[in-house]
Parts: sequence; C-alpha cells; structure tokens
Amino acid sequence: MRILVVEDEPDLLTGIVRALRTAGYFVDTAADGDEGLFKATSVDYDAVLLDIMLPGQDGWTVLKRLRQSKKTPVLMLTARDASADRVRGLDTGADDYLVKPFDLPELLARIRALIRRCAGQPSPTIELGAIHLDPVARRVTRDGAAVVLTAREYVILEYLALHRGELVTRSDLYEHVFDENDDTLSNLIDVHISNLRKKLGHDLIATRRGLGYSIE
Amino acid sequence: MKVFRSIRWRLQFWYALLLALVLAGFGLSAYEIQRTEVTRSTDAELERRVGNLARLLRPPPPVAGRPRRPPEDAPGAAEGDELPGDDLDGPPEPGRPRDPDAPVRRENLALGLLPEELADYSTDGPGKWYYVIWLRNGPALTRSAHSPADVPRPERRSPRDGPAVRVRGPLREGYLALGPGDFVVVGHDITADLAGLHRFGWLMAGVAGLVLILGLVGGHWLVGRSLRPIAEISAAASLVAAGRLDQRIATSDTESELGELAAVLDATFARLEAAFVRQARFTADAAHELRTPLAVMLMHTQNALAVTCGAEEHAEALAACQRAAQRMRALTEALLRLARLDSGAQPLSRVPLDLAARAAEGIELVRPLADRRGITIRAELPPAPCTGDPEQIDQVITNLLTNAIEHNREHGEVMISTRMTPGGASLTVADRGPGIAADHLPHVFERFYRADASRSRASGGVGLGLAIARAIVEAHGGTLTVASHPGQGAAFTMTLPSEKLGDRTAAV
Repeated sequence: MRILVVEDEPDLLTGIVRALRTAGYFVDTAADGDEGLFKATSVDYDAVLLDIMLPGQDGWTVLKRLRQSKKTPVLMLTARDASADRVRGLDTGADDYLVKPFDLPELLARIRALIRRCAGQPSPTIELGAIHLDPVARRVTRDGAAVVLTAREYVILEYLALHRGELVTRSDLYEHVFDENDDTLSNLIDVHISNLRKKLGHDLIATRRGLGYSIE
Repeated sequence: MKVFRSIRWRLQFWYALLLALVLAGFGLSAYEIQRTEVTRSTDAELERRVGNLARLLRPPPPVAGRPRRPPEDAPGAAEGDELPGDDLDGPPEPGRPRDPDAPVRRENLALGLLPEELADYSTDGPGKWYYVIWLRNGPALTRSAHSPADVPRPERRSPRDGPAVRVRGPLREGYLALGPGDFVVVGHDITADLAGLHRFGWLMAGVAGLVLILGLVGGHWLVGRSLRPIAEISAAASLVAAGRLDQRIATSDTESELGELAAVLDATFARLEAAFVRQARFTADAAHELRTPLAVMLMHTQNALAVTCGAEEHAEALAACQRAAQRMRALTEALLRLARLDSGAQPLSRVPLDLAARAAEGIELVRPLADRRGITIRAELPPAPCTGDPEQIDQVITNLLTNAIEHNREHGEVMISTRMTPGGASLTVADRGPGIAADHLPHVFERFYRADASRSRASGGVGLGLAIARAIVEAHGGTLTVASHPGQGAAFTMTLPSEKLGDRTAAV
C-alpha cells in the first residue's frame, strides 16, 4: 500500500512517514502543494494525506485539481477545525478529515478504513478460503495456523486480496508495494509471488502470463 | 408602568393635552364672543325701546313736547318736563293704555304706543318683551300685558344718567330715569337667547370633541409612523446584542434624524462585526499555530513509544519535540506580548533616547545572522533624539533588521538610516529582497499574515513580529509604515514623536 504525505512542517512529515513505514506502508512525501499535486496525479496512490496550509498551491487547490483526474482517497490533515472547513474539505472531494493534533492509532485506522472502502471491501478482515488476513495486526493464518510473511510479501498478498477477482498487473504492484525510494528490479515481484505460493499454496495466486496476477 | 414610559404614549398624551387646550381656548372664546354679541344686541334693543317710551312720555321740548302741553290745565303743567304723577287716578290697568280718565301724558303714551309698538309687547312666553312705567314714586303707572308682577322700581338715579341695564334671573331690563321717581323699564325675557347660547355652546363642545378625537387618531398614526424606524432599530440592535453581528437596520428612510441614527448604528455594528471577525480569526490562527507543533510532539512521542526503535531514532524524536516546544514557547511569548500591548497593561517607560544609538546596538545584535547569510548592513545614522521605552524600541529595530536579513537575497545588503522629520525622529530599514506584492502590502502588519507561508515557517517566525512591532510603535504614539515595489525590496519606516522637554504626555 503506497501513500503520499503532503505536509510542509518537516518535523511532522518525518514523524508521519516514520509511523506509516512502521505500519507497513510505502510512503512518498511532498513538502508543498505543487510537488504534492504532481506526485498525486502521476502515481496511483492508495491514499493521500493532504495538509491544507501549504506553500505554493494550498490543499484546497491541490484537492480540486487532483479530483479532475484521480479518484485516489484523500485524507485532509489540518489544524483548521471549524465545521465550515470540514464541510468544505469533504465537499471539495476529500474522503476524510483529521484535525491536528491527532493520535497515531486514529490516523492509521482512518487510513485502513479509507483503503478498504476504496477497494469496495467493507469487512475489516479478508477470507480467502482457508487463508485469513487481518490488516490491523498484519497477520495471516492458514487453517488457523500463523504464516510468517515478510512485509513486502504481506502487502502484495493484501493488495491482491483487496482486488480479488481482478487482474493486477505487474506495474500496478510496482506502484503500490514500492515507494519512490525503492530501487528494485522487476523480477523481484516474481520472487515475492513465488515465496507467497510456497507459504500459502500454489493455487492461491494465478499467473496470467504476460499480463499479471490475480486471486480468484 | 411601561405604557406611560413609552415615548409613543407620552407624545400622545402631550399632544392630546395641547390639542384639548387649544380647542378649549378656541371654543370658550367663540362662546364668549357669541354671548357678548347676544347681550349687546339685546341691550341695544332695550335701550331703543326705553328711548322710544321715554320720548313718548316726555317729548323733546322744541318739537313734540310743547304743542301737547299748553292745552292741559293740570296743576303740574307749570313744572315743565316733569310728569304729573300725583294727579293720576290710581294705578292704571295693565294692558289698557287707553284710559279715558288719564291725563294727557298718559294719552300721549297710549297714543305713541299704538298700534304697531304695542304689538311688540303683546306676545308672552320665553322671549317676551314688556314695559313698566312709574311716575312720581307712586305705584307703577302702567305696564304691558305680560309684564311680571314683581318688577321692582329701579334705584333712585338722576335723569341725567343715560339708560342702564339690570339683570333679574332670566330677565334683562333696561331702564331710564325721566325725573325723580319717574322710571321707564323695558324688560326682555332672555330665556330663549340663553337656550340658543347653550345650544351653541354644546355645538362647539361637540365639534371640539370630534376634532379632538380625529386629532388623537391622526396623531397616533403619525407618531406610530415616525417611530417605526425606532422599532426597526430596536429589533436589529436586539439581534446584534444577542450575537447576530451580521444584522443591520438597513432602513429605507435615510433622510430623517432616525435614518441618520440608523446609519450610525449600522456603521457601529459593522465595525463591531469586523472586530469580532478579526478577533475570531486571530484566535483561530493562534490555535492553528499551536496545533502544528502539538501534532509534531504527539506524532513523535507516539512513534517513539509505540515501536521498538533505536537510540538514534529516539534522539531524533526528542529533537523534533524540542523544536516544536521552542516554537510553542516563541508563539506563546509573542501572544502574551500582544495581549499586554492590546490591553495597555504594560506601562511604557518614556525616557529620552537616540534612535541612532539604538540602531547601532541593534546592528551588532543581528550581525551574526547577517554574516551567516552573507549580508552587508550599511548604516547612516545621524542623531535622532526622541522619547520611548528603550527595550521595546530595541525589539522593533531588531525585528525590522531580522526581517530585512531573512527576506533578502543572498549576499544582498540592508540599509538602516535615521533622520529627523517634521513628524519626529524616524528610522528606515530597507532590504534588497524580492519585495512585497501590492495585494499583500496592506496586510503585512496583520497578525499571522504571511505573504508566503513556507518562508516564515522555515525561518522559525510565528507571524507576529510585525504585528508586535506596529503595536509597540503605536503605543508610543508613532507610526510604522512599509513601502515596497516587487523586485526592489521593501522599506519599513518607524517614526516616533520627538517630544520637547516638559511636553511629555502620559504613557499610552
């Protein structure tokens, strides 16, 4: 899951990034509105955390322009708490609104809910036959027994599971399970998929040769 | 009671009172004039009739009297004008003027009264006329048919006096002395006249009452109409008092005194609302500025506590918290300073000082910062004496210098100069930075106003420096202004009044 954080306060940005990475997300950052809008429109993020008071274009403008091309879930992150501001944010196209200062667990829960809703997956846990995913604890069990996955393996599995029945291309996976700082080789995806098949069974993930992967 | 304190009812009351007084005065005058007129015409008629009778009884000597007297051999004939009352045979029968035994002068009387004049005395009832004639202090010589029995002989009076009038109840009597004891009395029953007067009086009262009622109704309407703007004003003011600051009276009537009042109140409400909006925005901005460092602290502490991270990450989290706390400290200090300046609670010490000397000290204070950014400070400081609080003036100068250094281009220069102007001692700090855009220029002294949010935050400012500087200068009775052209830098000029010795005003 790849998230863009647009925040101009450096200390807050590093704090959020560290917290999100710890929670298993892949995080890109932008320190002003222009950079934020550029990144948000060029990559399909799973969620965007957007501050309102930004140098350059402010959060409102970024949101309005982003909505012209993208359906990316946006969580507005701001110190403005007036009800009128929240209404304006939601009406401009934001999916959620969080007022600073916020608690880390709440931020993470809102991001999870946002991603879940956006994938059309209302239940907080995912069942794939004998395999059970718990996104909150990031734990996977097979027939009740815990399966140990690496962070990257877990994210690939979760992404495929959230888009169950759909074809997920390799470039989709690249966009969502790596961030801008990762320098990876394309065959690494195949390595992770093969590891997942070893741990969870060969039938779980189907390969559409030349196209990508899917979980039926 | 409220109704008696209401302007509307008080106006109504006084209006009614005035109207009633005017109507009463007018009505009473009209009644009095009418009454006088009736009396005067009655008296004129009485006098005419008395005169007629008197002429008959005692014809004027040269014309009518003489031819009648000589044929009479009566003993009283020699007595000239005097009527021979003694030789009359008893009281004459009323209504019988033609007594064959009567002396010649009675004959005269009867003759003179016949026939038309007698007719004037022949009717009875209200409005009747009557006469009674006495001769020589005896009983009444003759009287008309309907004369009241109790007509008294008038008081003794001289024949030289003219006719007089007396009033007995409803009767008005005119009388004339013809000689000692000889009287002619003509009476008139004025009951009918009085009744007419009363009718007139009631008519007047009725008309006055009608006019009063019409006047009161019209007055009520007029007063209500002219007081309606007050109701509008009151309604709008109540809403404003209840916190609906966006309410205005907006009366359509702009010409009258109440319209002017409404306009003044509207202007007041607008200023009140603007002040509230400013205050609310200031509070929101202050909260916003405090929230961001709070969010930083919360985020980093929760990060540090939630995960097992290394000593290096702990140190980073602590450093971030420290920066946030320092920013909050700077912000709260600035807010407190502003609050004190706003309330005027912080008394200013006013001592003579030289802006040039303060500027020189300020330059030394900011020189490390300027050196770090490679900025040259050029100073041109002739003495500029004024009075003020040295510590606060120092703060303004340092703030202006710091701004000029931070908003300068690399290796640029800052000019600081002092001079004496007619307005007082003035100090100008100019930079060679990007300047301030015209649409930002009017707002640079506003609290938390930032032409560019990133720059001020990156340099650690809280957005209150210029607001505080202006508050300090204004507390000194001076001015702080800015002039700027984009691309050519900005120049801030502080002017402090240089008071003459002994002309010190109290601390503001």
